[in-house]
Amino acid sequence: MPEERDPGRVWRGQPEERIAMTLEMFMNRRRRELASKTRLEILVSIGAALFFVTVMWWSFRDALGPIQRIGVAAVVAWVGVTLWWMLRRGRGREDAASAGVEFYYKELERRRDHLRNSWLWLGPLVLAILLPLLTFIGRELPDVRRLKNAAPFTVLLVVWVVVGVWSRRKQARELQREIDELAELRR
Amino acid sequence: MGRDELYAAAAREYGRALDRLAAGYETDAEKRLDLRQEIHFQLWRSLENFDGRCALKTWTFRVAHNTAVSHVTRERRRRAVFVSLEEVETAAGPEAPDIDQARALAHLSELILQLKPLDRQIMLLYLEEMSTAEIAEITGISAGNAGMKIHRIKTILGQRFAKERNHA
Repeated sequence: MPEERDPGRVWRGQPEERIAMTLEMFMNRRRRELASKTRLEILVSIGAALFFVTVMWWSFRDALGPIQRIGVAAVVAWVGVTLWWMLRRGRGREDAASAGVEFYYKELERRRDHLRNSWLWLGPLVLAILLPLLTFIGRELPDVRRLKNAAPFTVLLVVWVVVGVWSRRKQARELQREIDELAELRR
Repeated sequence: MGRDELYAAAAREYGRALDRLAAGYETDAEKRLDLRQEIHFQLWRSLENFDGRCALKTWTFRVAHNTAVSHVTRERRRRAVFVSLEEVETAAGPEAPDIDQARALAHLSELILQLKPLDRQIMLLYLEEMSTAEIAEITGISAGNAGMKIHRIKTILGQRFAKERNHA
């Protein structure tokens, strides 16, 4: 078989890719993935919070007391603050002059802080879920048997919060490990 | 050697082969770039756990193939059904191309891209001139099984490229 027609030679002789891979290139990709994951988590969380308060407002609109109204206002305000914080953080990232490993390192730190401070962006959602639950419990308080109806949902909520906190702490620890390794490399 | 040094060594030694490996799994240029980045990233990440119990080459190609297979699995729904080496061997293949190097490559790529992941891995590693033992180690199949597959690959390639040989 002539050498140029040998399949192995044909395969190995294929033209080189135009774009060469660099460590910076895929670190930028990973950084973009982390940033987009963080953004998505925040947006889903505040979207769900707004959904819950809307449903609550609609369901209890005739029986909303001052506490519930304050609660709804708090959720909306918290959502606004979270959105502002997210947009501000996004702008800061675009302004960053550093690239590659340094940029990736910073994104890892941001992601770790995001996971460690999840109460900041998950708070509106937890509050939005607690509001109708507490309203229901308050309304049914004299009747213990009806109060039991809220038990499964309450248990689910507690499990969700506990598992969520545990999982985010675990992710934050893994990120910290990667941050430490990168810090070692940068020295 | 630290992770970055290992990665730099792997990228330097096997970078071109990894590019070809990506070409064996993805034809679309943009998706191929994504796949290449993913392979390099997964390789870099995985090297944290590299303990030297196997060769860097084996490790690199194992990670690369696993990443590429995951990519293929994700893309599978959009693709035609894959076939095994046995099916290719028994099926009447298309006319062997009486063609230049570029068309021979296109023909070879077409053949590779229709293979099931394991057969594709073995074909790509064989084309990279890896030994049966290396192929067995990377793919995790027995040496005997790898040898049998390689024999089939040689037969298929021999048949498909025979006409070219006659015309050359």
